[in-house]
Amino acid sequence: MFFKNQSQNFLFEGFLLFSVMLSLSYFTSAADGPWWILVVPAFFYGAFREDPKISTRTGFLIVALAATGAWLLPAFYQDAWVGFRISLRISNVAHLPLRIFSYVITGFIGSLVATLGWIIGKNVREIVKPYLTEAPLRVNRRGD
Amino acid sequence: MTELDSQLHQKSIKQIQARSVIKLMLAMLVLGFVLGALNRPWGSIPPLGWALSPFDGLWLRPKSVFSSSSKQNKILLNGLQSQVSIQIDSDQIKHVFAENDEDLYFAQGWIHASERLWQMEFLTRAVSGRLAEVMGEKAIPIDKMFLKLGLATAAKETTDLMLQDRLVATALNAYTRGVNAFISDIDLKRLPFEYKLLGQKPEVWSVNNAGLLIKFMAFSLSGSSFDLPLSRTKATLSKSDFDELFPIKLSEPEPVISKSGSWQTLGRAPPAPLIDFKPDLTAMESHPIEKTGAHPENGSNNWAISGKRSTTGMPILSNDIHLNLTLPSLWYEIQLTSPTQNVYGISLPGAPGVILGFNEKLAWAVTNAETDVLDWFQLRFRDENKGEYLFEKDWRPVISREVNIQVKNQKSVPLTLRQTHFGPIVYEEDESPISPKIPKGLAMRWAGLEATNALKTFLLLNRASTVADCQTALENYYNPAQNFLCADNSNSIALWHMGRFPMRWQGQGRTISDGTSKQYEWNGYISRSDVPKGKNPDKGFLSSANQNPTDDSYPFYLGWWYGPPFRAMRINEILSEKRKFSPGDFIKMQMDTLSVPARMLTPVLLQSMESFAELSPVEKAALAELKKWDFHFSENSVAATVFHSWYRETERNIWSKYLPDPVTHFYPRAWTTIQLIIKKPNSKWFDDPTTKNVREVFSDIAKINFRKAIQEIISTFKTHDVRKWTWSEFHPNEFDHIGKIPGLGSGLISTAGVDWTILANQGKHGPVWKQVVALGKKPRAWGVYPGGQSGDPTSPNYDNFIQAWSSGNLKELSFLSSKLEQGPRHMKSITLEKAQ
Repeated sequence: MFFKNQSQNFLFEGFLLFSVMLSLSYFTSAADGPWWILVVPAFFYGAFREDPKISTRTGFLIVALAATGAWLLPAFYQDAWVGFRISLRISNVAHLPLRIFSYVITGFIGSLVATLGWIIGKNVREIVKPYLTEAPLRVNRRGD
Repeated sequence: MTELDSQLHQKSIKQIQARSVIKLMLAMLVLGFVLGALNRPWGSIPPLGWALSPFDGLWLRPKSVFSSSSKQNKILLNGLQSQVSIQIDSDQIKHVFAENDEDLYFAQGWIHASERLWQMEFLTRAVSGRLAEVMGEKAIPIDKMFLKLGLATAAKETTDLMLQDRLVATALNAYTRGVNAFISDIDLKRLPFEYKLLGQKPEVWSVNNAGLLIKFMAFSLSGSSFDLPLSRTKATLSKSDFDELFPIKLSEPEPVISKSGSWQTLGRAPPAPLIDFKPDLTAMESHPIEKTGAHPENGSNNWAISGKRSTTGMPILSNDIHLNLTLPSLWYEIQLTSPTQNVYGISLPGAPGVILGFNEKLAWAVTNAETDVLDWFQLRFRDENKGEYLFEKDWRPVISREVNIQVKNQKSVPLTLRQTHFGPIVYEEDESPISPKIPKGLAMRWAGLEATNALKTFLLLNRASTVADCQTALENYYNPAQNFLCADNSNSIALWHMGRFPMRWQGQGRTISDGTSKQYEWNGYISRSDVPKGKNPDKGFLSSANQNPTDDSYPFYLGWWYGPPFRAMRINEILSEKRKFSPGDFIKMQMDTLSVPARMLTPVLLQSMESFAELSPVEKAALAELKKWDFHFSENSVAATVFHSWYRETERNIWSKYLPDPVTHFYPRAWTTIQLIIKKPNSKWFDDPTTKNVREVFSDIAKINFRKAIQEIISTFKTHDVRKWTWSEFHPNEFDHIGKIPGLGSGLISTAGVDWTILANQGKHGPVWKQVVALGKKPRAWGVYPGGQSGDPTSPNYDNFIQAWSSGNLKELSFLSSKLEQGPRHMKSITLEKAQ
């Protein structure tokens, strides 16, 4: 894509996806939209991003990490501002043994809904692709 | 490509498509299920998806204009008449300067709402029986109790009375508008933590809520009653034994006001009935229920010295009030300034004014009076319908009313409220009271249900200049009764045991009263001029610590359950030293941990143990600690742990032989027990009736109880190393969340002191405000409370004062004279302005 190194391309792609998820979540929330808006960019990523170099596992990881980052970064920012008291209180109220689990569960929820959205998008692509991309077949009746 | 290839290719595509369809449907199903699960509450758990979204839920904190990072310095509000300036310290104390009283209270309401809105709403919901609406079915028993106590109706009557007073009405209405100005502008995405956790939204604030808060304080401070346990004890013991252990007149040392016979009144308590009423206790079996409701030891210390006893030449006043330790704190520190007043102290979020504090000329302090103003009446019903009850010779109707308790996510629960001319029947005989001290099937008469204009007292104190003004302010004060202490910069100090006390015969209302006889009714009230009071005594000081308010010569009956005299003894012992005191002395005195009972009893215990040869190594080590003890309940004291355990074991051992259970029966006062040990060590009360041929004396049971105490300590600490048995580990403090939401309180806090020392730390109970005020041309004051100004559990200002409080580090309070002045901790200024 932009980098010669494939890993760098994946990272960049992940960063782009993360940025989209973060921005969309922020603006959607400001407009009282649903918290699970992450599903939408993940869906489109699954539906339209096709690259034979991206295995299913890689694609899954890109989406999961992008979504986790899109949720954890603002959580961390707000938490750090008050000396990590938010994660402490969440863990206290939820009876979690350590405050890090507040982040773990937060990140898990974000990545769960996003990856499900990606899976849906990917499978929609698989269903629709043959009708959009396949050239008409030329049949050689003599079997050549 | 051949046709065969084409067919194979088509087949392969179709297979892939079919698999994709299955995966798609599965994924959609799972997503639907996940979103469904994450979008609904599970019991008390809010919808997790929203709650943990960093853009909407618990991660998103309220924005505060008071924080140093906020750039907003001007706030436009509808309802103001002119500008209000607010100076803000680094510890978030607000100094409010307004050009008129209405704007002042408006600003106070707005500030309280900004910082403590959930707390304000929670307390008013609790008192009005509306907690289950937001907290679900677990709050139903609490709602039932408060509805049956009748506090909501009493609050409405109190508010109506207060609104008839111009000063109070102005303050209340302006305050209410201020609170609602905040609520109307609130960002629903940035609600306080508790609102989000409970899925709750703020309600419009009603002027009636101040009445609810006043009744909450009345319940906290005068809602205790021991009539039922004492009735059981009286029924268990013989008359002579009961009279010996529970005398009506407490001959305990250091009453608040001692006149030794020179009371200037011709009044007397009415005569007692000739026949003693024996209530039927069969329907009121005991419940092994944890005690709830008003803490019986809610009390405080206050003392003041006149100028001749102080290093400053002017009076110095000290107050530390003891209540349940909560986060956020019940109190909010503030300074309020307008053309009519300049006052600093602690306020009660939900009500205008400063409740405890000082102004330029006067300081005031309170301790709970502990007077018995709650009596229970056994009724005789006409028939099993219980629609009428006998009073004298008449059958009077029981007035019934149906209400519904609204419950979150459930159907409402119906409740019948029944009223007699005494007051409500709180629990029916087939119900389970939330507290074993609340009798079933009895009617309650409680002074706390009467309409009062208590707020006027505090608004007048805020403006008062002299002790005489203090007296004028107290004319409006009825309930909960308090020992009010005032000091002014004209060098006067005065103390009043102030409240509205029913006129009763000696001992009336200690036990369950006869609801059929007018002899058990209250005969009006003791005249205000006859309440115990003192002013400018020769000894140069006045003090109170919830103890007996008067000596035996006082002609009226005020009650019988007071705090033990130990704190008062210690306070007066120090103040009687022949020296002058400075404010620093008083700050140190508030942290005094010497235990008078320990000083009295430890030599007796040691003497008892002298003949006890068969001590184990750990028992010898524990005894060695007691031998070198200075009787202070300091943090690292091992002897304090040993003594405390030994005393509790001894007390239980002595009385449990005769009285089955300290929760259902009333044990004698600590003073009585200690006097028996010291003065009558051969008393029959130490004998174990089950040992027929042996007559035990105190020294016998002292040894047994010492051994038991050591075993209890070992099982607590899980070590035989006595050096680890430190008092602070054995007896830490802990703060619950004010709404009892788990996880939002504090952990264990190591502290010193015990309920009988001046530093009265007792588990989840302790000093919730400490102040020392040195009057003069300009007063200087020091104060701290355990908590922080913010009610937001995620704020650094939620609990930042706890450390200073536990160390006794009172900060010097910035008492500003004008809005142009800035204190040493000044952080920023904001203005509230009238919106155009």
